[in-house]
Amino acid sequence: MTEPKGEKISRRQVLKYAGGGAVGLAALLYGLDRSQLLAFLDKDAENGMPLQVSKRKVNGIETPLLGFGCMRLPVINRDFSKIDTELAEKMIDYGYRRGVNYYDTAYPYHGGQSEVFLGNTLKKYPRDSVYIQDKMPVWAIKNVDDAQRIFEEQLQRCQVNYFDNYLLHALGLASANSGNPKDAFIGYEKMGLLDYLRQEKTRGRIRQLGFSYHGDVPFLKYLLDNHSWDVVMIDLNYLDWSHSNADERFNNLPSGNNGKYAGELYKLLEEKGVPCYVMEPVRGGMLATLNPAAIKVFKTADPNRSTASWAMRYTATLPNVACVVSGMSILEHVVDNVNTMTDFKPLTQADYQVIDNAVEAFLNHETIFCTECRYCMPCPYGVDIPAIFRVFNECSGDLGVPDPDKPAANYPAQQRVFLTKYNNAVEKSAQADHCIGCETCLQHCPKRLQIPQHMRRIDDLVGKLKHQKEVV
Amino acid sequence: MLRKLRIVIGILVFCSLSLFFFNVIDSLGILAKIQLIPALLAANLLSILFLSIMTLLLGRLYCSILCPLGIMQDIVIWVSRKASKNKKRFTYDPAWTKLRYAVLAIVVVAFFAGFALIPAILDPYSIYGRIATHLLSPVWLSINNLLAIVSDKFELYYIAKKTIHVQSIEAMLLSIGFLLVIGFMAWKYGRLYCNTICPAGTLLGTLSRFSLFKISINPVKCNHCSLCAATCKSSCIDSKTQRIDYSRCIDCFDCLENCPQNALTFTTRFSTKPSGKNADVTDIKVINMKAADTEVSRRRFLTTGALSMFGVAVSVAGATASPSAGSAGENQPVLPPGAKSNKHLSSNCTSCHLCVSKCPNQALKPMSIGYGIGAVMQPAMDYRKGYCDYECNLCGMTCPTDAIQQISLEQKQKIKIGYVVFNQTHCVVETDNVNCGNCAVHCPTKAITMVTYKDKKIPSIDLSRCIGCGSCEYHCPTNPRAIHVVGFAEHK
Repeated sequence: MTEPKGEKISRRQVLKYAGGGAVGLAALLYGLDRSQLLAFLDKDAENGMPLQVSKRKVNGIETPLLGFGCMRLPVINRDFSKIDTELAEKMIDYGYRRGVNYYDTAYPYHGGQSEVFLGNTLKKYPRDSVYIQDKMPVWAIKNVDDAQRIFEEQLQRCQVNYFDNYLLHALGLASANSGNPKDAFIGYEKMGLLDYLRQEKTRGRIRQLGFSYHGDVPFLKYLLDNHSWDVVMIDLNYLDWSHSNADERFNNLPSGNNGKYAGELYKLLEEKGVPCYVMEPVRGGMLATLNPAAIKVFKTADPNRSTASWAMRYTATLPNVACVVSGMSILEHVVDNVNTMTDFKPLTQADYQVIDNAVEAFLNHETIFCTECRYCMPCPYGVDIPAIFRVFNECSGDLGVPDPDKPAANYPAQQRVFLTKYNNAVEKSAQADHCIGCETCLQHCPKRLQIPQHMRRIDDLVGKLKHQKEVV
Repeated sequence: MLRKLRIVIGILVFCSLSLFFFNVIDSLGILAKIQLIPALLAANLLSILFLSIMTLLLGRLYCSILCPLGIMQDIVIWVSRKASKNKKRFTYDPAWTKLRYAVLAIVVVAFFAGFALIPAILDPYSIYGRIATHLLSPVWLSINNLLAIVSDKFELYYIAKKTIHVQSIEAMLLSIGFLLVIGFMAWKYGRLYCNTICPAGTLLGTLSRFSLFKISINPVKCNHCSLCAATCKSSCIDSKTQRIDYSRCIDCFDCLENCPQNALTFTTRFSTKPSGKNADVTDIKVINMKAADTEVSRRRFLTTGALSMFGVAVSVAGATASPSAGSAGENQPVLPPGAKSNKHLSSNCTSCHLCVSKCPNQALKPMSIGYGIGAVMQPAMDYRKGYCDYECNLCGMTCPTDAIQQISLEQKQKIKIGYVVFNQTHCVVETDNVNCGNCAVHCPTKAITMVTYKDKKIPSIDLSRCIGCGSCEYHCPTNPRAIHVVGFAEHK
């Protein structure tokens, strides 16, 4: 696979970037095709021992601050069940060389292929040099036999004879078949699931037992009060931490699973002395893209740090966080996160202020969280979805999206720029008014954006802007 | 001085009117409303009065400073003069009185017979309007779109891109034809069109004979050098007899500055006596006259040729056209609100296509020959590329002939220009098995509601609310459209 193109990146360049500004390296990687990325990774493998990511010891167990989440690995042809194993393995190896040896997977990830991939990839490393965390799909079991069958299958898939961490998957999530989360949990308990897993722990096939959590505060308190747990994994990031659900601006955000209580959940874990593992530190990528206004705040504070690195540092600064698990689907993510966690520097008081300012800027400039991945395209009715969202987001920056009902002081400028951009960037036949709400796009959007709703809203906005020439 | 003033005003009017057509400026619609033939069709008394008084006072100044086609010809003449170097280009030519009045008579008859196509084809303003809409506007739009790209690069966002498309083959070919023929005539023979065919020119010419101010030749100063005649693009100065045909003089004032004797002045008709003195005829002048004669005959041949070609074109068009103009049915076009009826539009519209240029949604298009000879090139709605905006009455506000009447927004929102027909077999519910409702969402009068059909929803139409704006047809996702507007022959 090594193509001459790959030679673009010389060893000297790799060395130059490996130590210091990985933002520079991430930027260097940007725009490279797959073969060039592989060439880069092969070159990197020839290097000696690179710098290691920082480690943290919580309750006697030392883990790297960065964990490799295996839910969003690179895939082939956008088919989520077909992992690009060659690239993904080299990404894992890149991390391993730098001490990222903590891996999080689960039964349903990549249609079951995540566990298989991890087994195949990690078998070349000594078992005690890696931490593997897997999860019991509690929604899929009816009795202990099911649980046992699945557990055995997971060990087999991962080609291991024990899991370092084993979690009940997604407690607290109200689902259709299990109803109330607490009742569901009591059901598992009665079924004997907990006893079975404790048994496996005694047998040594589970080192630490815990659960991953997507629920509210009282239920977590119930779980912690009534049982003893080695680890708990929660959604945690600065956006969900610092703002309560009383803030109506949050209603427009695609919701994090239990984001609204993240701060309280963490405090509860700290109080009970249960090590906290973090998932969704970048909120599914949202905190890496934010919007232009918020990015500006971060770049002004420190041009050399990536936007995502602020989110990573925010969670890793919390003392009871054992490991921040980030689902990394492209090499840039790995490089950037490794750099953030190498010689880790906790947030200072000034840094917290920067994050507050960025959150404020982010919430004040409404954004549609489209990353222009174009999975939604082609729209069967010709709507250019990413182009329309780009116009909206670009306008949402310093200028602001015009609001005809509550016109701002610079409304005429907002109106002019929005309409001109919209007209010039989107063909008339591809504009939002051609969305018929067939919802074909919904199943393709990895961000689960309510695309038809956004289209309806933008179409209404454009209609109002066109006719409201003067502001009263 | 007078000449310079004429040129400055002429260029200003020409540019403003062109920019008005290009939608660069939104005011100055007055320049369209003041045009003679449209004003007559619209019975616009103010404009008629203004033009009559101006002509009776100063002569055919209209042709030099207000008529866009006239000014365009002046530009062609100016270029040809620069290009040819030959200063003695024009010669005196007797008036073509019979032809002029014959054309005028045909136009008048057509006008009263409610057949606006003849005035439409010959009216100089409308000829220019079509040239501007179909030939100049695409050029301008290309420039505009380039500027838009540049301004977007600099994040200015002042200029909106516009789509360029051929709106009417007929109007475009006719415009090219007229541009070539009139351009050629102007290049070779000056204002030949204005003084032989143009009905506005003939009409104003009958008045300008009696105008208060005139160009007159001082018989004492004049030495019959014929330099004035050589610069006269109207070929109306006979320097031998020292006579000027005031029915053709368009007040360009070129001759005033060219007379080496300063024998020509622009003064009141009473300040000089008509000269009856016969000039000496020298041998050289006889030769000149002979040369002029052959020139004249060639010119007549050309004009007659052009005119007969036009006649043939009209009759061929008439023969091939279906005689369905005015009859309802599938061939009934959707006329813009304010056009009242097939009859009103076809008897008033001179197809200047100002409305076509102005329509912000590009929903107005000139009709093709298929709608009948009386309707060809007149504007009708085409809802495939745009629809009639509920909040817009621009076409009626700008129409200079009142073919599309000025109506208030409230009136426009009530006038039913057509009715909507739903064809379920084409509906996306049937073809793609998905829910849509885009027609109902975009109906400004809420005439469409979605009703349950099997497990999906289809539109149900309340015709008492439908005004035929075509928003539903434009927003319908299927091809052919499941929902489309059929026009009313008479608006309700």
